[in-house]
Formats: sequence, C-alpha cells, structure tokens
Amino acid sequence: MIALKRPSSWVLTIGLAAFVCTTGALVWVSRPPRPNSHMATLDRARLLLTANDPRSAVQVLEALGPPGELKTDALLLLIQACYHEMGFRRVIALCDVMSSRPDANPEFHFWLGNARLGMWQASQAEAAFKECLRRDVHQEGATLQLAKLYATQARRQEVEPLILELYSRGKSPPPEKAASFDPGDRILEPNLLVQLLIIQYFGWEAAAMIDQLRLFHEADPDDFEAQVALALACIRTDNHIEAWDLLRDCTRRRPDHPRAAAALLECALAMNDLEACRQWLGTHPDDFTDDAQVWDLRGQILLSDAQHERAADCFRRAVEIDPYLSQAQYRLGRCLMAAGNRLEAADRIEIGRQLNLASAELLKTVSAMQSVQPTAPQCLQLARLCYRLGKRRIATEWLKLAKAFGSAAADVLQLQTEMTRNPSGPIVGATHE
Amino acid sequence: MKFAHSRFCCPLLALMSVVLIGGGFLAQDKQPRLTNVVEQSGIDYEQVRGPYELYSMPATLIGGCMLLDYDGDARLDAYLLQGNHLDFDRQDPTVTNRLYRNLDDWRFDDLTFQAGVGSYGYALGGVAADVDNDGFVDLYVCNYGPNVLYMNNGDGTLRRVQDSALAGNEMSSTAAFGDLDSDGLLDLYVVNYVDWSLATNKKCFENGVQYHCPPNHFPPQPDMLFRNMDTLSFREVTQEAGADAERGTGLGIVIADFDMDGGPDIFVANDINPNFLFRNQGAMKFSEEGLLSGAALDGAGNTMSNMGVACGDYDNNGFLDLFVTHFTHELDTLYANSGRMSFDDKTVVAGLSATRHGRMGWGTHFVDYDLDGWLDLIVAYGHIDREPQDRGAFRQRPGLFHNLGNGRFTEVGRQAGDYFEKAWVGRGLAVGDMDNDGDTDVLINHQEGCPSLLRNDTVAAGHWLRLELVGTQSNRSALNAKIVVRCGNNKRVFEVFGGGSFAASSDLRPLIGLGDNRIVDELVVRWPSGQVQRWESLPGDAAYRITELGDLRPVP
Repeated sequence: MIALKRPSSWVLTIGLAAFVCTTGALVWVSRPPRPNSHMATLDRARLLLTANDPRSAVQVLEALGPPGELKTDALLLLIQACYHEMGFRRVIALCDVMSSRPDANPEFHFWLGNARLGMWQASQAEAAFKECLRRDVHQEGATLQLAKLYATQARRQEVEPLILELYSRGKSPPPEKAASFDPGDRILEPNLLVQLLIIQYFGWEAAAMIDQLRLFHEADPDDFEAQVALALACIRTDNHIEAWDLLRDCTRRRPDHPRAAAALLECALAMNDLEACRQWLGTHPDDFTDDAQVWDLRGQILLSDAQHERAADCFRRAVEIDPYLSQAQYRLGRCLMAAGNRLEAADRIEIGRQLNLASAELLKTVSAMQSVQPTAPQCLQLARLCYRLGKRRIATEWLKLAKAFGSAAADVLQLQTEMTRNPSGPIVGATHE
Repeated sequence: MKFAHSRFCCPLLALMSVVLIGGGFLAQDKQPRLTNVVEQSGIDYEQVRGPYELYSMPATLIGGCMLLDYDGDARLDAYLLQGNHLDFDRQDPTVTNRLYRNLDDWRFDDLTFQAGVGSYGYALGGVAADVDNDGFVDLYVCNYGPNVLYMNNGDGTLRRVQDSALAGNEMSSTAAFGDLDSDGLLDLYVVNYVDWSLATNKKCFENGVQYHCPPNHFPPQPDMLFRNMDTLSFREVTQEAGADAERGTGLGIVIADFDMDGGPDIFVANDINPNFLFRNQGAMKFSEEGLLSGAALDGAGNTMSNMGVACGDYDNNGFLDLFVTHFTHELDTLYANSGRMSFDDKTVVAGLSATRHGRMGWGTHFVDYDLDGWLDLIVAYGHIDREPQDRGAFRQRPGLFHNLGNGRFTEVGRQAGDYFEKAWVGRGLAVGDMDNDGDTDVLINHQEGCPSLLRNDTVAAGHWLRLELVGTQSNRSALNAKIVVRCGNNKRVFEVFGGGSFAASSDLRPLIGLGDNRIVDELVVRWPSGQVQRWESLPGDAAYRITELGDLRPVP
C-alpha cells in the first residue's frame, strides 16, 4: 500500500492491468469457438473486422467449417472478411458458393462487385452491383460504387438516374428497416446530391483516371465501356493515335453505340483528320439522330469544313434534343452570325453564355459545400441554378432541402411557381428532361 | 550470319552512313536553338514580389519586361519591371525598375539612374512607343498605384511627366498604344485589373492550404481609353468612344486591325471574364463585339481565365489571329480569324491542346524562330501559388510550338535548349532581334529569380527581312501600319500592332521569315494615314528602313 502511493507505481499497476485485460480480450476473441456458439463466433468475427483485423476474422470463421457447410450469415461475413483481406479471388469463389444457395443473401453481390473492381474487372463489377440493386433496391453502397465507376469511365449520363433513384428511395424505407429508419435523415442528407452535381459539372480528370482505365482495359480487353473510356482519356491526354485505334475497334464491335461514335468523331477532329470525319458523315447519315452530342460533333465537323449553314442545321438539331447543351447553343449562334442572322445569333450566344455562367456558379457553390453542411440560401441557390440548367428533378430536391433548412417561404414559393409554370426549364421552347 | 558479300556491303554501309549522318545533320539543323545568355550579359536584375505571405493580387502578376531602343542606337535595350513592398510606406526606394543598355555582343550595362527611369513602386506592365513623334521611344509604365509616363529627351535620358489623368490610381496590368483615329497621334488604352488593396485583401484556403484568391473576390476596375489630342495632351474618352463595356479584369491587350477595314480594333483579354473586342467604327467610336465575333469565349462558349495574348497571322490567310493563355485547368485558346470579324477556336485541331497539361500561361508571342515563313508560338508558364492545389507546379516548363504549316503546331521546346528543359515561374515575355542578326531573340522575366535572355541560335533557318518603319504623316512608330509580303504566289500580311504578350513590350520592327525565298517579289506598306508604298524584287537577308512617303534604305 505504501508503494502504491508513489505515482510511478500507479502507472506501473495500471499499465500491467491494461496489458492483462487487452491480452485477455485478444485471447478470448481469437480462441477456437466452442460447439454451438454460432452467434458468438459471428460476433467475434464482426468485432475483429471492426478492429481492422480481417485475417483473424477469417480464421475465426473458417474454424466453423468449410465454406460449403457454413450458414448463410457466416458465409456472408467470411466473404466480407476475405474482401477486406484483399483475397479477391477467394471472394469470387465464396460468392459462387453463396449464389448456389436458395437462401442466398443478396448483399454478396455487393462484395462480389467490390472484388471484381479490386481485380480491375469493371464490367463484371458493374454487373454485380446492378444485380445487387435488382435484388435490394436500398443497397446504398452498391449505388455509390456504381456511380463512382460511371464517373471514372466518364459515363455521366448514367449517374443521375442512379443517384436520384437512391435519393427518392430513401424516403420510403424497406419494410425490414422501417422500424429504425428516420426519413428526416435521408431527406436532409444533401451529400448525394452534391456528389451528383460534382460528377456532372466538374471536368473529367482524364490524366488522373487514365492509369485506372488502362488497368480496366488490360484486365478485360473485351470490356466495351472500359475501352471507350480509355480511348476518351487518351484523347484528353493527346494520345490520339492510341485513342483512334481503340475507337476504330469499338465502333467495329458496336456500330450502334453513340458514345463510341461520338468519341471517334472527337478523336478525328482533334487529329484534324477531316477526311475521316467526312467519310463518317457520308456513311452514317441517319445514325444517332436522337443524340444531341453527336449532332453537336457533326456540326463541329462541318464548321471545320467551313460549311456554316449545314453546321447550323446540326447544332439546331442538337439544341432541339437538348436545349441545355450550352456549347451547341453557342456554336449555333456563331454559325448564325456567320450567316448574317445577327438577331438570333445574339440570342443563342447569350443562352450558351448564361448556361455556362450558371454551371460556373453551380461549381462555385458546390465547392463551398463539399465539407460543410449547406445553408438554406445555398440550397435555394442550387435549386435555382439546377433549374436554370434544365435539371428540374434535382432542382426540386434542392428546393425541398431549402425549405427544410428554413428558407423564406416566399422565396421557395416563387421558384416553385416558376418551375410549375415552365416545367421544362427557363429556356423557351425547351422540352428537355 | 556472316556477311558473305562484304565487297557489296561496305559501299552499301558507307552509303547508309552518309544518308544517316546527313539525315542526322539535317534533322539537327532544323532544330530550334534558343540559348540563355543572361549570365554573361551583365543583367543582374532579380525579381522582387514583396512578402509572399500576403497572398496579394499584384504579386500574382508581377514580372513585366520590355524591349525598346531608348537611345536610338539601333540596338534593343531591356527594361525590367520590379515589385516592392505592397505597403507604400514600407517600400524600398533602392528596389526599382531597371534599364539595361545594349552594348552589342550580348553585353548590357545598367543605366537605370543615368537614364532617369529608376522609379520604384509596383510595376506590373508597360508599353514603349514614340508618343510625341520626335524619333525617340517613350515609356508608359503600369503600376499597382499611379502609372508613369516617361518622355524621352533624346539624349539618353527620360523625364517623368506629371499627368494625373494618365497616372490614375488603379491596378493597371498593361496598356497599349495605337493610332485609333488615324490622326498621326498615338492614343492609349490602359487595362485595369481589380480593386484590391492590403486593407481589402482576402484569404482563400483549399484543403487547409492558403492560395491566392481568384480575381472574382474583388470588384473589377474599368479600363480607360485616352485620346491623344496633341503631342502630350491626353483626354479620357472611354465612355464617349463606346469603350466602356462591362468591367473586365483585364490582363492582356492588342490593338490591331482584325477586320482589315483600315481602323485598328482593340482586343482585351480578361481574367475569368469574357474578352472584349472593340471594333473600330471610325471617328474614335467603338462597338464591343467580343461575343458575336467569337473572341470573347472559347469554342464551346466557356469563359476562361484570359491572361497573355499573342497576335499574328499563323495560317497565312491574310487576317491576324489570336492566341490567349489561360489558367492550369484550361486550354490556351487559338482564335483563327476567318475575316469579317469572325474568330474560330482552332486550339484542338491545331494540336495545341497539349498546352493544357497543368501549365498556366502568361507571356506569349508568335515568332517565326526558324524563318520558314510560318509563325511559331512561344509561351511563358508558371503558377501563382507555391503550393498549387490543382495539378500544376509552381515552376513550369516554357513552351515552344513549331508551326507545321498545315494548320497544326507541335511542341519542340525540349529540343530548343536548356532553358526549355528547366521549370520557371514565367511572366512577361518580349521578343525582338536583340543582336540585329536577322532572327528573333526573346526576353522572359520570371518570378522569384532572374530573367532569361534567349539568343536565337537556330541554324539553317530560312531567309529573312527586317523592316524599320518610320511614319511621317502617320505616327512615327508606324503602329498599325500593315505590310504585305509576296514571294511568288505566297502573300502574307503583317501589322505593327500595339500591345501583345503579357506585361511586355516587344520590338516594333517586323521580322519576316521568307523560308527558301531569297528575294521578296513585292513589298507593300499601308500606312495608317492611308498612304501606300510598294517595292519589287527586294533582296532578302537584309534590314531596311522605310520612311513614309520617303525612300527605302538598307540598314547597315
């Protein structure tokens, strides 16, 4: 007792006690499971996973028996532990075991997707995430991974429906989660919408993505989307020759694919290969007529060929399909200007400029919101900007957030009224979205 | 396998060697060579930007330079602009702009104080021209704070003119002279940036790292147009001339006749705002046609961070084109002028998309460094932040882009010498024939370091013609005079234009690459006064002094 009155002794004693407790705990969680202690084993495995020790978690679960004999919940946990241990091939093998079971937990598709991604097998990962969502529409992780994959592969158009779907789903929880679900959490969670806007409006960082895209392509040379994405990154990093070869192959394999066709045209334009462009125009007069981007590219080719009138027709078709395609509006204006139609030219150029200003403003607002909770004025501002950019559905969500965060009712009502009056957006005659 | 037919192989190998070695020489000879000779030159200027920790707006721009023949000895002298402390009360009077007299043979002598141009302050840009038509070049220096006009006394000294109208108190980034009303007197357009002061300075952070706030954090300042009423009497006419467009955070300017209608137009490159293109309507009236002309935005209609601007007819179609430098994440833009005041963004098809890779462009000029008859491009790059939060680095490699003559450029910087291998914080870039040897040399100023003096050593270059135009009815500097050079069926157009590059003033003597042509079949000079003079069968590889309504004389 006398000794314990000295501070150093206290430290020693506490340290010793802590060591004994920790060692004891580790010995306890690592000890071989006793028969009929299934739930306890799973708890221990979960604990080890939480403690970032997947290897021990795998060992604990393996002690329960071979994978084929494991119960479904244990098998799912083993899949998860193997994934965290970077055993991607094993995850795939275990998912095979799981998939053959009548009571398979659909979550395994999520881990299968992640393992495929870990092995750079993008198309198989995509298929797994989609399957996961088909079986469990509330799987947020799969949605986000899929959105990330689309963003990496410059497939922006596919991100919006995906995230909006998840966002709207959040308001009606699945029956099994209903008891613990607070709808307010989801509705007031703007992060998904912020991410969506970042993916849609921030420039695609091809130089930062190209290594990853190359790995996707190498891992699976038959993956069409991976090849198109790599080609696009090659164009953006001025490796036009490689891009051209990749895209020629893509368009041979899928002549009906608008993104590949558009990328091929972009590449030919970047190489100033007008002959190839003309040839494409000649052989594809009636293809992709519902794709605004392709019409815009057709216009650019004709513009490079100094065929202003024909180019104007193409840009007009592009803005008829997507009136919020700012560059097509602007280019149409420039063509009209060359044709001497100054009045409409000025209008089109101004529309293009206003759309670009709105995008720039949106980026500025979103950048300021990345790491902080948005304010009511920011939400209202984003609602206005999204509406100006023809994104009515996203605008509606921001408007709801603005309301929830306490925006003045009059401001909300004013925008709501405007959106009701012009449901397709502020550009006159637009029927987009 | 052994060579069974060595008697055939030896001559074959010898022939191959000749072809390969010869080919090697040819390939080598065609390479650009720009040698940095500043170390031996006697130029001991070191750039001062003031405390970095202030993250001030003027400090992002500092680094101007000028090439001018201030003493009339037919050799280009160098004037290097200098920063100081941004608190005027704490400025060091010994840190001044510096004037280096060209002594020939790439040696320079510091004559700043003898010449009377050693003012201190915070000089961002400047322009040189003969304002009073007395045969000697005058200087206008743009400052953070009042601008300064130096008039040349003609005896190797200049005097500071007290003109409050011209001085202003804005943050003027640059300026350009031009005879906008064709009255023989040079008018002045002053480009202003933002309303910034130490008191209104702001702090911007990203990922916890402070960086220089973008200019849209401060109100833009309106530009000013001054009409030269009489030799030294300037009147501000911005509003009445119709040059009072929206405020534009301007950084670059060119005064040139873009529509070839005889009246010089004004192009202003605005940082994060649309560029202005003031079309000359005559009688000192302008209409702003930037958006309608296509020169305000990039080809997709995006507003860019426009900084430096190069002007020249790169595609030899008879109209002056523009190349504008931008921020790291943006593509520098090549605006091809198709005439009728219409500019098309040809950046990508011209192969200039490589300019975007993490480089931030400032000073830039079209130069025919190899005299092949096609204008090449040189660009000074460098970031504004020491720790950039984008993909750029603070110090960046300069760019030299060779014009292939088919509408495309290819970057050749790495072959052009050590200077292009290293990374710098480039800003002002001025070009001129500093050693009068018939090719274009380059002066580039850098932040946080010394300037570079690039002697053009490109061998086996083409033939050339250098002109020194002296206006008598027109302004003496012959600003906005047009030159048409015809060799066979090949006709090209040049203009002595005002402004250009970033924070720089270049040689006003046009240096024209003739390629393989030793003779100029026809030379036409159209003076701003309307006078036209024509010569035929002019031998190349020579410099000529042409006097308006007078004669053409070879310059020794």
